[in-house]
Amino acid sequence: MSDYQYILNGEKRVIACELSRRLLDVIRIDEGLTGTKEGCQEGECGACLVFIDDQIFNSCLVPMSNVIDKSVVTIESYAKTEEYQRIERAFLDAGAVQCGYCTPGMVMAVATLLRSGRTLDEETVRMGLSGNLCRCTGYQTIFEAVSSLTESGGQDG
Amino acid sequence: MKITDAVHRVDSAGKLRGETKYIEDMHFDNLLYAKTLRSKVAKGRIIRIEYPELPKMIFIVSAEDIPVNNEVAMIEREMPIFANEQICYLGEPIALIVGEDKDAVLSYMSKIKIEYAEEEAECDLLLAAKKPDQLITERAYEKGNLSEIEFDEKFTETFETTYQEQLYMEKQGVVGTVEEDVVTVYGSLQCPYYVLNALKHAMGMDEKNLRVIQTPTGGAFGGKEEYPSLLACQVAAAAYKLKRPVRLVFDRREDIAFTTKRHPSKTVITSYIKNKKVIGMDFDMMLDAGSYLGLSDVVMQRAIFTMTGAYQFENLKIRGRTIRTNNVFTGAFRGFGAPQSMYGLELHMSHLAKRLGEDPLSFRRKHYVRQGDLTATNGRFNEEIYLDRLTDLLENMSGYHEKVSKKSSLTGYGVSVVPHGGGFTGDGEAVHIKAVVKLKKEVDGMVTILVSNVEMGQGAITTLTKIVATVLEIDMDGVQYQNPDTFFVPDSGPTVASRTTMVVGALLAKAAAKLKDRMNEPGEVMITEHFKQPDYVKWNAETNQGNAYMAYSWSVLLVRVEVDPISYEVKCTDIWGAYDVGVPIDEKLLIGQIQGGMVQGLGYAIMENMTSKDGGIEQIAFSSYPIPTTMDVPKMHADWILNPYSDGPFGAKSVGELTLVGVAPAVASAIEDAMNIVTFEIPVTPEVIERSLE
Amino acid sequence: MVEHYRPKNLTEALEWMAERKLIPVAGGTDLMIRARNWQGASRAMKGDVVYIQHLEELKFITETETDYHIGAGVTQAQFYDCKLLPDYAREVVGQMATPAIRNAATIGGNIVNAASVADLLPLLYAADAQIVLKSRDGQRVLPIQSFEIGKYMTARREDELMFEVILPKLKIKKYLYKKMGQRRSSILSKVSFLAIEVEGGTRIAIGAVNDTVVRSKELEKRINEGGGVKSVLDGYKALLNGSDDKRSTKRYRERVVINLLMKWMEEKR
Repeated sequence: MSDYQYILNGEKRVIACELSRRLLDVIRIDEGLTGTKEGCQEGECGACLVFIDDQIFNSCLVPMSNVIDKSVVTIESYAKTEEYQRIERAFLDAGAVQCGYCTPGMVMAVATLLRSGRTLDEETVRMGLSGNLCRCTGYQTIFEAVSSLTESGGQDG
Repeated sequence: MKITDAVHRVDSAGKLRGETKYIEDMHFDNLLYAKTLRSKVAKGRIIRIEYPELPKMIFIVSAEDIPVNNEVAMIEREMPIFANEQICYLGEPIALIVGEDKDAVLSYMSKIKIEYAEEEAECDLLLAAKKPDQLITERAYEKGNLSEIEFDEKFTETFETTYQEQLYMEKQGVVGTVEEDVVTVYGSLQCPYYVLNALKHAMGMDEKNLRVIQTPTGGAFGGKEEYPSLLACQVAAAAYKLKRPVRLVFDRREDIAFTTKRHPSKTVITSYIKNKKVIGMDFDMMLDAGSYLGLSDVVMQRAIFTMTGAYQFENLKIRGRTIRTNNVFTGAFRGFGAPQSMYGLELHMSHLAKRLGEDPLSFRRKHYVRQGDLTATNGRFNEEIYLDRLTDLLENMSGYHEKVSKKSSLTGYGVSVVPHGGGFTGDGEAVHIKAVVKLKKEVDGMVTILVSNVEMGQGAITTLTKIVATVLEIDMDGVQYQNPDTFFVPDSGPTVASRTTMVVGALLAKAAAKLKDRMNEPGEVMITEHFKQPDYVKWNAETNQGNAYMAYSWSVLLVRVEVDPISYEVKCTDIWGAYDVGVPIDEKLLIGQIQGGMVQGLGYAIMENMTSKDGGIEQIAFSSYPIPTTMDVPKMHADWILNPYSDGPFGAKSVGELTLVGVAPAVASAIEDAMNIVTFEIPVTPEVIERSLE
Repeated sequence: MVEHYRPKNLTEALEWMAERKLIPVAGGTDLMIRARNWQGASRAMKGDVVYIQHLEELKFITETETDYHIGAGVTQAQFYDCKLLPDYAREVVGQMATPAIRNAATIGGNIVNAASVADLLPLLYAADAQIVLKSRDGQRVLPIQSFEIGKYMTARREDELMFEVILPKLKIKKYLYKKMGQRRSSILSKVSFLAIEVEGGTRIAIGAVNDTVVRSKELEKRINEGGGVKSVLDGYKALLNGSDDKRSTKRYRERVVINLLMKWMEEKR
């Protein structure tokens, strides 16, 4: 019915819905990948962040038209990477997870920071995570988690 | 390993990987979706509802579908599950429109016509307070004899606070199901047994046919204390009628606009001063309860029973009132009345210190309560109180005296000292809650915690598991906790009032001590433990006299701010906090609560401005109701003393609410210090600062 | 039923727009909010939609001797990351929204949406930018002031797409940009103030106060000629006509604008 395609977590998908359907709805409802959360429904909270061609996007505002021929990666797939494992350990060590609802989105934003190649001083980390709201932690443990990643150069050890 | 040593939280890995299933993530076969049909007026009567002919697979669930009582049983039973005829607030639920296809549901809803006889709504707290009919509850008590004391001067101030929205990241959500003769409600909630009791009243069934299962809860902060009872009754009735699972998850704007939030308040405080000391205080507070009382009277009790804070005032006259308006009904939120009363008291104390030319901490020290002193309600402070030590700790860790003496212009410092009583007010734990916990050794040796207290981000699972494992001297892996399911867990009370560690944790510690001797027995072993009120708690609910709380936790805070002279924007750079929470069960969990509370308190203090106009909340989106982002948070410095509480597990007292309560007055005071202004309201927005400059 | 059109290229988009009324959707960061609806339900679009985010013809940043040309489909992130563009302009964009939103939101979207709080607009007003519109039948070039005709209103015809913004190259000697919101990031502006010092003198653009950006060449002239501070301040005050809203008050906005003008004029002396 449609020739429109995109890649979801490394697998080719045909787009069978309206082009205005939110990427978030396709991921969560049509694909059953519920790791990506819906928080504010309007691009403010960052709970729904996914990678599109390796950049973070609020999937609650992305119409399916905008992912055609692109590659979408959600937390389910990202959680299988080594880079993720380092983030997970840093978050566990720092105690940076409370209710957990913002957490998958936060992880995606942290990943982008790690990949940016920038020096992750405090200001850069704060700016990089400024689109991810957390109501539980007060963010400081999250800063500590990210800074522990950079101290070890983002590498093991 | 010491009990205070940090461990990895039990529930974090699943949350990080996105594996944890919140209510919106759970799969149910044959699921129907519900949307709430809401009143478009704040007050009036429904004259007629025109429902168009029902298409196939669209259903209406309304008042007539409630099997027995169309009332939400909380403390009172005045709030209907679905509006009957009378409308009391904008957005009051009238019916659920339910269907398989969300577009079809929305399309049908757009064609429903409702005719109202609109009445004049009372939406202004101060105007409502002048009308006797709008008064719902009033409580007053006295201590000493305020009318006959001799004093040098009298000093009166009035403080106002506005709404605060919990803004948990996970929206309100419940699912109702029916299997054979059991109606089950799954939901994001704090109090499974509150919900169960509400269901019993509405459905006319007992706990054998009604079941509540808490799902992983993405933040609550009090917002999922009483409110989910309403939603649970709605979906239970819907599932019961339709014999299929029904899910009700709010849209975010719906959630902000129509669910409970922190009470707007107005407090008039008069201090009587002699020899530069407060010898008496008159404290008169009113709370906007909104359209239904809900928990407002309980909130007001905590506000006024704790109103003398960390101080000994010999003569008191105290009054609290809950006022009915046609605004959205207000309810539980971390701190539960104390943020309002402690904001007023603590900012007033700072104003007094300034007026009398004294350092704000030194001035407070002169009034500190001590062990054995009478509380405001003529109970006794039972446990050791180390307020001076705590204040010393704060001064040393922050370099207080040097910082304050060398401060530059546009920089300001503010302090606060607050207590927070753990557990239910008065004899509530013994009379109303009667907590029961169970600990079960399974056949394979695994130990299962059976309590109704939930994980909502605060770390309950980790804390309770750690307490049990430590008493049993086994690994935490040997202890399991499952989300509360009323078919299996006893009623250990709601997850509120900072009681989970101090009260429920203590019962589990006792149960574990008993189980320890029986771990080698073959087969299952079940230990049951009941709450017993300590002998030192005496309370008279009629006169509001006695021990309002079993034990208090304490905080002393210092806040530093910088204010932009052009835009009056406030940058909070640092918050230092010294705490007495008895013995923390886990240092990382304590820090998590401290930092989270500080930032939620900072939002309350400077930016979370929420107002109501003609009965409607004006800021109903994340874009108009700002909470702190990563760019807004200060450096947070925390330390604590160890002051074991004899009736707490490993000496622990309460933590969760305390960390928020003292923040707003310290921040407000710091802003005043920076700008040389006086303020009487929070949030202290740039607009408020600008207005105060005159 | 809403129809959805996804053109192969710009020409096809303009063909379709000439034939029927279509709502152009680029990054979606504004229109998808306006079309918000229950999770999983269809978006509540106000009409038929044409998707343009993928059109390569709209994604360019080039320069001539006198101007920068920025395609309407350039994202805010691409604008911010483009070292070719001047610092003062990049700083404005760098303070907009959040990193993830800047990856999606386009320059054209912010301009055509014409919200009174759009942070790009003070920059474009101060720089005397021009907007290029294309339709099947040709193109029009409008100065930004003529393009933005009101709150959420522009001079774009229904058959036109914004093609690019032309940002004149200015020799900036000094600039002052201040965005005020209810918090320090990711927030709609209460006041968005840009003052620049170029060869011809001072230019001042004030956004988020009135329905459209305030810029007065007459008052700028008065500043450049060293006119009385009071007359300048009174002049601007008279131009500000916003009202109290859920984010701020008229009184606060006026006071802050006055403070910023005073700071700018003091530093100029």
